[in-house]
Amino acid sequence: MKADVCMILEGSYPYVVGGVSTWIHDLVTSLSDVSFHLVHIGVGIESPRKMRYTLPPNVLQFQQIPLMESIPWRGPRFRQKRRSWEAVARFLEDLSRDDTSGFRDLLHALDPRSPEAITPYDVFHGKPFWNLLVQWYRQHFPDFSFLDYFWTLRFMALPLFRVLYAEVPPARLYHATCTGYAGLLGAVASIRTGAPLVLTEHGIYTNERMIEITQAQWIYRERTSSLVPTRQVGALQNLWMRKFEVLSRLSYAQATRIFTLYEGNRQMQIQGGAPPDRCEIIPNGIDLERYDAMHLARQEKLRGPPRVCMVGRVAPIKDVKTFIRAARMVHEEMPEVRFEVLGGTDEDESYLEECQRLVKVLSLKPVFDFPGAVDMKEHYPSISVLVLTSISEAQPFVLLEAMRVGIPVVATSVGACAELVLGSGSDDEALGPAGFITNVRSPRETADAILALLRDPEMARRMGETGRERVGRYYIRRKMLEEYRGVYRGLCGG
Amino acid sequence: MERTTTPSGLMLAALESVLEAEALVLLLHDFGLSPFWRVLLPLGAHLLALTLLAVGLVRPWNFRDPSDRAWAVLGLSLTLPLPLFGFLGFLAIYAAMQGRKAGGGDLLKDFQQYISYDPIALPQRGALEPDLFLKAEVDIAPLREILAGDDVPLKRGAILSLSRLPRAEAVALLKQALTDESREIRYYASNALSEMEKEFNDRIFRLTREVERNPTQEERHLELARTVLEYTSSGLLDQAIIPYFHEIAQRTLDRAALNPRHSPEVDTLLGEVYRRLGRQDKAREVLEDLANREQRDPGIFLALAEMAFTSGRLGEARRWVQEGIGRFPEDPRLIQLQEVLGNP
Repeated sequence: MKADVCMILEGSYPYVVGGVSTWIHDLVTSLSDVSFHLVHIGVGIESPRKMRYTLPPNVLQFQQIPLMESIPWRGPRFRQKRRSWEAVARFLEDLSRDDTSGFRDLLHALDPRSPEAITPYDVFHGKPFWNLLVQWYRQHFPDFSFLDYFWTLRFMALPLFRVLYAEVPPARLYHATCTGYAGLLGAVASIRTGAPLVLTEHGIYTNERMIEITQAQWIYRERTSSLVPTRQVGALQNLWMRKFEVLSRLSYAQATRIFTLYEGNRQMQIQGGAPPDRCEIIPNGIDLERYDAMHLARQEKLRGPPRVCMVGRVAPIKDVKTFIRAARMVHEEMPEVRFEVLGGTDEDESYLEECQRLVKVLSLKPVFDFPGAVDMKEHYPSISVLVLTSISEAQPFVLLEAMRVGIPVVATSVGACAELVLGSGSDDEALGPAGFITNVRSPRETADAILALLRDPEMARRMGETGRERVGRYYIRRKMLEEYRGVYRGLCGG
Repeated sequence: MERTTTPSGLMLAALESVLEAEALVLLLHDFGLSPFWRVLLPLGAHLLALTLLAVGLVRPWNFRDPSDRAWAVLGLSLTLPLPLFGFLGFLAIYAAMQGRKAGGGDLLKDFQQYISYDPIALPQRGALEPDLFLKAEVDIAPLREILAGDDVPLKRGAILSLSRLPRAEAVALLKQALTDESREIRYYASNALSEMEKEFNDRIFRLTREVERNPTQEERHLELARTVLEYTSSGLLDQAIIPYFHEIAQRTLDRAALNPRHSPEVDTLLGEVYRRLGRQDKAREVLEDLANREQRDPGIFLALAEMAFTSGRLGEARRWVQEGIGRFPEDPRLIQLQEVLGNP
């Protein structure tokens, strides 16, 4: 059965909990009149028992594409396929000029229905592809180990071909939730079926992969003891980065409309090759009424010792250690304050252990706790100050939720946090700050901000009210859903 | 007696030669064959030559003609032993290599050291090689300039370089980079600092466990205290947090000092920890007691002089240096300190 929207997911919903998954679940569940076909791209096939969300009834089908599993050989073998190989060579050559216009010809060359289709067997065992590899090697990596080059390319190519040879489910519209492999599949599906592609990026995929790749230990790089800095990363890291850049370009080129959460990200998309006229912003939104009820309960529940909480999973990217250190500094001045990290503790057990050790070293055990993942509805009303010390975020839901409850916040200057706390644009900024923005990894600044809020309840109340007002004006879930409904309607033809 | 008709021995030898040559050519030339056939075909040709000659030897066509047999014997002796010589030769080379390996342990050790040598890991071990240290001194100023600029890829390289320098100056620069305009640079700097911290934390945790397991081993206590002091001097920790780590060092050294025969380094380090904790009197007490008790270590006088100097007691610092030089007249550190501080 043909779904209205085929939503393409990569390493997120329904297996991973987080901001993107929350947004996807909310969108799919709320637009109950729209039928969805979900395609999840992951490393392997995941068991349904690992699902962290319940699929709503308007999800007609759920398909998985395992990137690192072997590809079945299909299509004609033992033919010349000269024209197809020429298309591949032309596409690769054009890529060096950031020109992706040959992508359609490439797809035709790989289409199993074509009599000259290049099969995975041709790619991984055929002489023409080998010749292309050798030619590239001689042109771009003449001084590099051929063995490392060869295996890196094979390893890079396998997931790409897994996506390129995937069966594309029929739909009236394709919606990729990031660029990368999901964006590639979206572009392939859109070209093959003629249906439009919509792209939503919460974090900028290319940037995130680039950071990962430059620090990856599993990619071989020539080691050096030199302290002289260079612009270059290792040759193989360059190859990987280039691959993800190209994937983003392909999906940007094919997408009819491209969305992100805030202006900073939009600018990065444009830098990455997205046409500016197709880039738009739809911010995250929350259900105001739900949090208004918690705001009312807050007046009663705030009695007792102040409670300073960080809401997020215990993972290095959340920099829980900075929160612990800030807690120590606050504890020096206000020993009655209690501190908690409300969020999953099972993502990185060694990091959790490090954090617990730090709590012990800093003699904070009696006042610091890691209760794990909890129902925030129970906790928001009694939180005095909400802290977010992350070193990377997009537009965190937790800030929106806390602000609507009326909790003053202390957040690092990452992603859209400054926009949320301080406002963006003159009208928004005129509302005033909803808390404090600090530099990353700065326990002193964090502690000072917490102390300022705890010592001045009137300022804390005022900031809490500003947060409520800002979320009520600009970050409304209903509005976000209507905008996506409008996008779907417009592109699906009603 | 009728003479048996036999092929000539010469022809047999020629045939054998052709087959062997063919085997050789098949072995050496590719012919587009798979490795399996490239081994099998020469082996087949060789075996065929061998069989022909063996037949010529076992069933000589004319025993009365000695040349027939001679050719067969010659052919066989050439066909059979040649690969045998090769095999024996290979065995000899292998044995020689093994002998060298067994007898020449140094070579293997050198090789293992060579392959395990990791210049990047040196700073992480807490000790820069002298040349690398000098290089770092020279290089840190340009890195500061690069980080002040707006070339993001080069800044990324500068952060990588800084992360190889576990020194307070490098840490300070990395901390500055946390407020960089580029999100990417902020992330790299944060990650570099996290990595440095993680290494210290892991070492401290490992040593703490070792101390718990072996509370009587003084060296474990000393190593833990040294690591903690290195961490607190690294610039990675905020001032407000540092005392908690110094307390770890104090606790472990106090425990080591319970042994009546503990080494002077325990007291030297304990004095340093007290000094850093701001407990000058206690530090002085420990070090003076040590100076009266121990005469073997010039480091005690250095520590006492340094402590007196940082407390603003220049005269006392000079006296400790002089007393130290009285006992260790050759010690270059004490001489250098006396040159700087002057005489009492």
